[in-house]
Amino acid sequence: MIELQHVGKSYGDKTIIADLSFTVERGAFCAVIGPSGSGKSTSLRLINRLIDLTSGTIRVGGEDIMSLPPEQLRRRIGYAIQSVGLFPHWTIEDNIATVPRLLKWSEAKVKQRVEELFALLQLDPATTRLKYPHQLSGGQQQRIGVARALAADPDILLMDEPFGALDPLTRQSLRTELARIHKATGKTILLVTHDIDEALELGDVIAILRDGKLVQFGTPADILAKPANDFVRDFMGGASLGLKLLSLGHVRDHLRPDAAEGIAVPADAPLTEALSQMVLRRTDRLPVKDTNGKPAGSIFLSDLVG
Amino acid sequence: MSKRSLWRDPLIWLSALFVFFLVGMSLLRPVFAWAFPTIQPPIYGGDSFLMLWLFHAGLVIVSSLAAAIVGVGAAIVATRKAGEEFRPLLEALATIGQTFPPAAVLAISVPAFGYGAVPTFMALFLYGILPVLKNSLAGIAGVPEAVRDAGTGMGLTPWQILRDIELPLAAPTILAGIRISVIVNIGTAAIGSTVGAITLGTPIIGGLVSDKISYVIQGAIVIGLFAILTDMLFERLDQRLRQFAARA
Amino acid sequence: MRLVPRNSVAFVLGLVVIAACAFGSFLTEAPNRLTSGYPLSLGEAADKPLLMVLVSCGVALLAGSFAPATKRNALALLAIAMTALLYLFFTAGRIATTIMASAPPATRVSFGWAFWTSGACLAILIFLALQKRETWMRLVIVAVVAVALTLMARAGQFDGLSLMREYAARQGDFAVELTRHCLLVLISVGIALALGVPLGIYVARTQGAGKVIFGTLNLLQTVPSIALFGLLIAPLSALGLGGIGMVPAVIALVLYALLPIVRNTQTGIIGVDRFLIDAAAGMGMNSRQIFWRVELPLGMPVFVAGLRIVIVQTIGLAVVAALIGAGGLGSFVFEGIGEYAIDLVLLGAIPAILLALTADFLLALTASLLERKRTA
Repeated sequence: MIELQHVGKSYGDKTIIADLSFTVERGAFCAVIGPSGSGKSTSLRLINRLIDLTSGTIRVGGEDIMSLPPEQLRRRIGYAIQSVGLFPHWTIEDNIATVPRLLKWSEAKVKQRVEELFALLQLDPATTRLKYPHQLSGGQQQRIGVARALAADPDILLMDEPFGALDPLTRQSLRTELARIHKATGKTILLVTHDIDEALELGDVIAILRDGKLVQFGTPADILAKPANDFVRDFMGGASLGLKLLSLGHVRDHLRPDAAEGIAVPADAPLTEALSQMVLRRTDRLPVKDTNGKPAGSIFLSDLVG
Repeated sequence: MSKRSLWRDPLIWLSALFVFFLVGMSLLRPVFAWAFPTIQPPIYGGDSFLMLWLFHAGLVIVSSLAAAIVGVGAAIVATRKAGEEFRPLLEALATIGQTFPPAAVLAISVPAFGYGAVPTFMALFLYGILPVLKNSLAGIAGVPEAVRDAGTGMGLTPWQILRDIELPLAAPTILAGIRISVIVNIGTAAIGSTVGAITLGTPIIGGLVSDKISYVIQGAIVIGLFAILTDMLFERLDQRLRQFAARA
Repeated sequence: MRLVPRNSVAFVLGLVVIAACAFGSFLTEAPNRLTSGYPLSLGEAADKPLLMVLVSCGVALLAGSFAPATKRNALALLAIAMTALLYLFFTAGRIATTIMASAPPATRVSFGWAFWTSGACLAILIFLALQKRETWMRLVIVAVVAVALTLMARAGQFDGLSLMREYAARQGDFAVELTRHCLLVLISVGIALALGVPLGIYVARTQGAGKVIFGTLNLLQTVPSIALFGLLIAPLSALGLGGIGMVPAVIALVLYALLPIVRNTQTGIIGVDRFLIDAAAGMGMNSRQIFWRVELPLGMPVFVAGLRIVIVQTIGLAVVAALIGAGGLGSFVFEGIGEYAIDLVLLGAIPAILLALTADFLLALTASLLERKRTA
C-alpha cells in the first residue's frame, strides 16, 4: 500500500533521510520509531508531500505520489499530528468535516459521515458537535483529531506522535481505542512515535530509524528476538528486552487444562501480567479465566520461557 | 570601527546633513531662488534655523523629561502593593488619553493656559506622560513573578528589587515609551507654533499663511531630519540596553 | 463603618468631584466670545435644588466606595456615576440658560475647569466599572449616556452654553467640516487598506521582504505630520495636482496609515500557529484555501487591532491637515486660534476627540466580539 524506494531528502549538504526503503502492506499498522532527529517525522511528511523528496520514489496504492497534485494526494490520506491542529475558530463538526467539504461532498453526506465518526469514536454528538475545540479536554481534542483524519474515509492514515502531549492514562486509553479503530476499519496506518511500548503494542510491523537510515524493519517479535545491532538492542530496552518480548504474547496461547489455586488472570492478558502475578503471589502457576469469567485452565511459569 | 564603515553609518551622514541645514541653509539660497523665483527672500528670514531648533529641542527635552519622570514614577507607585488599586485607573487614563488627537490636546490647552510656549509645553508634558506611563506599567508588571520571588528569597529589600530587578528588566519597554513620547512631542511642538510657541514649525506655518512654499519646505526638511535622527539615536540606545540585558 | 474605603479609586475620584464642584470655577462668564471670562463657582451660580441633587450624588459616591465589592454594589456605583454625570451636564446647561436670560446676547457662558475635572472623573469611574462588564452592557450604558445627552441637547438644554452658541452660529459649516473630516479619514484608510493589506500579506509570505518595507514605513511614521504635509505640497503643485488641499492630505494620511496596517496584517498571518497551517496543508487545503479558511479568520483580531490604531491615528492627523487647506474639524481649531476665539477652537477640538473616542470604542467592541468564541 505504501512503498518507499531508495528515498532520500537533503537540504543542501545536510542529509535528513538517506536511501530509505520499506513497504507497508494494505491494512497493516506500521510504527516508525527512532531517537529524535532520526528523520521519522520527515519520512512521514514525505509521504503526503508536505515535504518533497530529493531522490527515490514513494508509491501510495501503486501510484507514484509525484504524479498527483499534492492537495489531491493529501485529501486521500488522513493526517493527525501531535498538537492536534484543530481549527480553533470552527466547531467540532466543522473540523471533522474539513476534508469531506474540500472534496465537495453533499452536505447530507457530510452530516451522515460526521454521525458515523461520532459513533466510531464513541463520542456523544449531542454534547460535542457544536462545541469549539478549546471547550474539550486534551484527550477529547485528540480523538476529534483522529476523527478528522478519518473523515473522508482515506485508505491510509498518517499519524505523527498523535498522543505525544497527553498524560499517560489518556494516552493508554487512546492507544487502545486506536487499536480498536484499526481493527474495525482495516486502514493502513503509519504511526510515528518515540514511545517503544506504544510501537510494540500497536504495530504489526516496526521500522526503526537512526540518522535518516532504516536500521531494522520487521514484526515486533522479530525485532525483539533478533535485534539487528547493539543500537536496536539498547533502543528497544536493553536489559528488559526479554520482558518486552514476553509482553507480545498472550495467556490464551499458553493454556494448560490443569487447575490452579487463587484469583484467575484473564485469558487475553499479556504474558507479562501473568509473570507479574506469579512474582507477587510467589507461585509458579495461575488459574486462567475466559472473557466471560469462566475457568479456562491454568498457566505455568515454565510455559512463559518455553 | 574602521573609518570607512563610520561614514557608511547613516546616523553620521544624516547628522552631518542636519547640521548643514541648521547652519548653512543660506548656502542653498540660489537653489531655492531658482525653484521659487517669486518668493522673496527665498530663505526663511526670521530666527535662524539653529535658534529655532534650539527652542524646539529645548521644549521637547524639558517636557519629555518631566513626562518621563512623572510617567515612570506613577507606574512605580501603581505597581507597589499600596498603589495596586490605582493601576487600572492609570492604565485607563493612558489608553483613553492616547486616543485624543495630539493637535486637539494642544488646542484645548489654549483656553487653559493661553498663548505661547506655556500651553505647548503643557500639552507636550501631559500627552508625553501617556506612552511612558503605559509602557512602564506594562514593563514593570511584566517582570516574571518568579524572578521577583527569587529576589525576595535571596533577601533583597523591596527597594533593591525595584532598582536591581524590576527597573533593569523593564528598561527596554520603558525606553520604547519614552521614544514614542519624544517623537510625538517633536511633531506636536511643531504644531505649537500655531499657538505662538517659537519652534521649527514657525517657518512652516508662516510659509503656509503667506503662501511661501520654500519656507514650508525648509522647515519641513529640518523637522523631518530632527525627528528621524532622534529616532535613530533611540534605536542605538535600545540596542545598547538589550545588549546589556542579554549579557546580564 | 470601616475607616478605609474598600474602593480607594472611587473614593479619590469622588473626593475630587466634590472638591472641584465646591471650590472650583464650574462655569465662566465672559462679555463676548473673544474675551476670557470670570469664574463662577457652583455655589454662586446654582439654585438650591440643583445643588442638593449634585451634593447627594457626591455623598452617595463616597459612601459607595466603602461598600463591599459585590457585583450589585459595583452596579449601584455605576448607576450613581452615570446619574451624576448626566446631572452635571443638565446643571451646567440650566445655569447657562438662566444667566443668558438676563444677560446681553453677546455674553458667553463656558464650562470651567471644575466642570471638566468632575466630568472626567465621573467618565473614568464609568469606564472602569464597564471594563469588568460584558460587551452588551458596555454598549447599552454608553448608548444610554449618548442618547440622554443628545436628547438634552435637542431639547435646548445646552443652548445657553458658549459651545452650543458657537455651533448655532456655524451650524452649516460644522456639518460640512465634520463630513469632510470623516471623508478624509474614510478615503485615506480605504486607500491604505487597499495598498497595505496586500503588502502585509506579501511581507508575511516573503522571507526578508519585511526589513526594507518596515524600514521605509517606520521612517515615514517618524516624520512629523506637519513636515510631511509640507514636503508634499511642493512636488504636488509642480504636478498640477493642487499643492494645497485634499490631495497632499490624503497622500500623507495614507502613508501614515500604512505602517500599522501592513504590520498587523503581517503579524496576524504569521501569528497563526504553525501546526494549524501544517494540519490544513496535510488535509489537502491549497494555499488559497489555507489563507481564506485559516489564516484570515484567525488573524482577524490582530488585524482589527491594527485598524483601530489606524482609524484613531488618522482622525487625529486629519486635524493637522487643515493647516494645508484640507478642511475638516481642524479648520475650526486653527481658525479659532488665529482669531483668539476659544469657543471656535473647542468646536473643532471636542468633536475631533469625540470622533476618535467613538471610533475607538466601536472597534474595541468589534474586536471583543471577534475574540469571544475562541479564547483558547
